[in-house]
Amino acid sequence: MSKDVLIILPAFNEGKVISSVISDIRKEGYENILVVDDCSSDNTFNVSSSCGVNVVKHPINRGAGAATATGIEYAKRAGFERIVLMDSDGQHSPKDIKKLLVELDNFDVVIGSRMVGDLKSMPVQRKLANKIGSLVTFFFFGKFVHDSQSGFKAFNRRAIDCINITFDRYEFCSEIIGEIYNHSLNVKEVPIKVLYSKHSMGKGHGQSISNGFKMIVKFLMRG
Amino acid sequence: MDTTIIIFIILNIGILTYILNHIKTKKRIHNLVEVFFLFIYICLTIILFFPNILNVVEEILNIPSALNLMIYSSIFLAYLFIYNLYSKIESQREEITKLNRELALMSGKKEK
Repeated sequence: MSKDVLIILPAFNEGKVISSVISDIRKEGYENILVVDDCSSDNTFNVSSSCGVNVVKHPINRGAGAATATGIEYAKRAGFERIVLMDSDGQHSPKDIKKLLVELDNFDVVIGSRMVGDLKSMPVQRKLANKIGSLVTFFFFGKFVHDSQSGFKAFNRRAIDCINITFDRYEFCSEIIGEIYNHSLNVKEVPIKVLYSKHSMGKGHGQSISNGFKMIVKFLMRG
Repeated sequence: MDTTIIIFIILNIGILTYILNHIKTKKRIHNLVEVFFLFIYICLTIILFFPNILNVVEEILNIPSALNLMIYSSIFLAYLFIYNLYSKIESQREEITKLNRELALMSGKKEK
């Protein structure tokens, strides 16, 4: 199998939707898929395995940041040239993967941004959380992007080698922006379609304003 | 003797006995650290029962208030301890995450 592109899906208790997410990605022609199960308590691992994709499972739950870092480490060791990080709750459209990969020829990091396209379908609390997240990211890490908290990103090999994620939870999104700034990586934002469902908007999924406050405290403590 | 002082003396004997017993039997913390905390505790107890000793300290160090010095020093030490603890916890958190990652990558697709 070609080592060109690896699609990484960090997952926690996404047993209900992960098979359809994998199936939709495959329909777009991508076969190299890795599910990083962050010690889910449901059947995420077994469902992903039965879909025939690569799956690794954390023995203990560490958070989205840790799961993403595991996926990146897997890609590094396996020698993949490009990776695409996607949410595993069905929020991202696999049809947008091509948009990100096309730009990756000229940029090190491509961010699928919810904040540069049509915002009509985005819930108000998510818009607010994202705007605050981007401002906080700019304040602490010195780089402004419209959607710093997007889980839909593509990295080329240079970015895969440079970016080092140390935060375990959602703070890693801002840390990636900081790494982009520290390593002078070229970054581009492209508009993407976001599919909000009852499942993806449910409790425990995605960023929230309370997470945002916890993020600020953690950044202050780290200094 | 004042009832309050008697209660304080009894409490102090109890606490000192507990600390000495802890040092003798548990040995979870390095002995030097236990001795350090015991020393601080004894100093505080002496100052509590003989507050005039602070005047001697003020004369020796030529400062207006030994009590203020004590309080500010305590805050400074507490800050150092908290920072030290935070630093150790962060370091351990990273180690746990790395270990977790290695185990996940090594085991691959095995669970059924």
